[in-house]
Amino acid sequence: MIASLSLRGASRVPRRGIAARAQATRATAARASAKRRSAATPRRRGAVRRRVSFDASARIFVLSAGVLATAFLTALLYLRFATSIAANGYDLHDLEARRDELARQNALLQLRIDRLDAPARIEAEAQRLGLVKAAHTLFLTAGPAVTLR
Amino acid sequence: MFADTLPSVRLKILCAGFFVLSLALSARLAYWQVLHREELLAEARAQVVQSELLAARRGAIFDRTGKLLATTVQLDSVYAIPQQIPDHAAAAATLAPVLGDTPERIRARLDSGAEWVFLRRRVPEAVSAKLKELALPGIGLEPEAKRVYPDDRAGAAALGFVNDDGVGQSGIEARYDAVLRGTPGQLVVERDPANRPLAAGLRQVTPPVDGADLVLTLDLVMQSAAERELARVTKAEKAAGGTIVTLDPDTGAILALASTPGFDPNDVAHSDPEAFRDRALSWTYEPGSTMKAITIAAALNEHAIEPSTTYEDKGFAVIGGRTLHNAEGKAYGRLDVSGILEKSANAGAVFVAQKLGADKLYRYLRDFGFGQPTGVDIAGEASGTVRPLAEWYPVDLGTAAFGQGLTVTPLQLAAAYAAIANGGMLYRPYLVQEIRGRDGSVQRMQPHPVRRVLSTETAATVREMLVNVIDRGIASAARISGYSVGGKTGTAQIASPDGRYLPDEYVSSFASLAPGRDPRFVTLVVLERPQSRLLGTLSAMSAFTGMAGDFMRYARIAPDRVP
Repeated sequence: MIASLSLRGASRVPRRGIAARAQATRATAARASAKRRSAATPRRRGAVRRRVSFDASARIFVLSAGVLATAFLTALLYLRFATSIAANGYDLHDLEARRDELARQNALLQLRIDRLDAPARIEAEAQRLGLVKAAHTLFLTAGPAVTLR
Repeated sequence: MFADTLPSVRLKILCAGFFVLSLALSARLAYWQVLHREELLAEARAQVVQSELLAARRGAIFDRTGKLLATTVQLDSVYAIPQQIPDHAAAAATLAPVLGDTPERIRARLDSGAEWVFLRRRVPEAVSAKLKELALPGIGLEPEAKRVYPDDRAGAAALGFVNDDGVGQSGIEARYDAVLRGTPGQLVVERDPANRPLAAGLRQVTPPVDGADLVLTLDLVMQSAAERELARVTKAEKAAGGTIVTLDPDTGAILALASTPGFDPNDVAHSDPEAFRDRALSWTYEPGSTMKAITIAAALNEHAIEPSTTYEDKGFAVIGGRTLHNAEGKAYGRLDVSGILEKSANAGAVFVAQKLGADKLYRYLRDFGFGQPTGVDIAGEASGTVRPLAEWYPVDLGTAAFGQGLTVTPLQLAAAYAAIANGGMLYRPYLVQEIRGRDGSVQRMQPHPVRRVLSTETAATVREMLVNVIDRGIASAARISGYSVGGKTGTAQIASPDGRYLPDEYVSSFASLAPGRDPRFVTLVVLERPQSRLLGTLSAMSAFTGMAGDFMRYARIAPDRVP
């Protein structure tokens, strides 16, 4: 990963400005001295290539792992949402059933009110209580309109 | 060489075999997945998708003041799945007291071999709650719509009833069935094995359109009073039947319509089928002397006679070679036109009819609406019979003048009296005054004037004569303290199938206007075969006074006389 970072850093050198170019020159010098130091311990020519190859496979691995993880998380989320929707659906179903039952009960109670409000029932109840009809109804006749000043 | 080639050939054959097999499998796969894809999809869908009908709510019926007359509620029906009941005998014994049935009958249903059977439909809430407590295996409850009439028998004749499928069978329920019923909807939904709809599954809903509500012209208070009085006099007279019709004379609106024998629309299964016949409009009878007011109104309107016209009543009249007598053969001497009504003189009615002439009497009978349906918005109306003029014998002019030889429905006669009450305009009776749609639309029915049958002056004159009948004539039993009342009694014989009149069997009636001088109500009371025979009109008048007092108080009509 560090190597890949350094490689990416090296590839960006030509694009930098004058100040950056000086910094790059210093870095090249440092790499040259390091190369000289390493000359004491002989290494094979393909070392850098292997390191590049390792970086690519790591990248594929990371990418694959990422894709898998994302897919897993997506699947997980999907399942979570699907479960949630299903659960909410059942809740909704239960609430609808409860609403319908309440509406039904309400209609039956309203019907009971209407039965109790029936004139025939009220008349029978009045007779049972010994109530009698009024013999005469008094009517008041309004006089002529008067304007008060 | 052979050893080298053999395996290669076998391999090739094997490969070819596999190739052919895979080709066949692919073809088969393509056959089902491509060519018959829809069929497979439909089969798969059918296993989870259910299509069910969403019943529309039947419209309610209200009286003119907004009181509920009919509505639909959901009640539980009890069903059984016999295979799931471990012990039929024990289950029947447990259910019998709850359902109000015998264990044997329930057991018979459980043992009938059916996979699913109703034990009792639309049970009361208490029964339903008890069954839920019991939680018997294999016994379930299913909600079903039930039409309920909270006032029981009140207005049953006008309202009618519905059958088990909720289809109107008579009265308003039948006449306005299409309006009340609404349009059912449809629900297509995917369900899980527990029969619950899948939240994320298919769900297509075509919502039902509920039926419209009806507002009637009936007034429940007046209707109850009419039912009460009709039941009282019918019972006292041991009458075979009877009816009371009350109209608003200014519009033709039916305010009360009672008929006996009656029925409870909540329990039609235990009712006598004869009770389903609304006697106010599906039954015809010879109106008798109540028709004299029509004859005299026609003659006055045609100026064939004047109110001051007199004749000498000898107790009989001869017409077409036949002698027609007054009731009990009484002779009244000199009578004016009002006197004919006050005494209810048959000979006087014949005298008036002869002055008018057959063709004009016939025309007036038709103009008043006799011999044809009134067009009332209730199912099952009869037309009555007025024979064509060409078929009249000379004597028919005389008999028709006092209401014999023709038949009418009580509603026709009430509508004719309403024309006299309102100043001469014949209105079509009607029972529905508003149709209230679920979308908020309101269709209001307007009074329907059919034709003018009398001039205003003639109508006023006849009204005054009818008031005299109560004040000075034979119908004094119909007086109401504080109010003028106009009216006319009628006693008619009943024709037998062979064309003769039955001895000692009568139809008694009383047609009335109240208050007499400015009528707000026109009421006709009819009793069929009252026990007191010729005195049946007294009972009819008794029914009228019993409810008219209530009407006046209820409608807050100020007295027009000193009590």
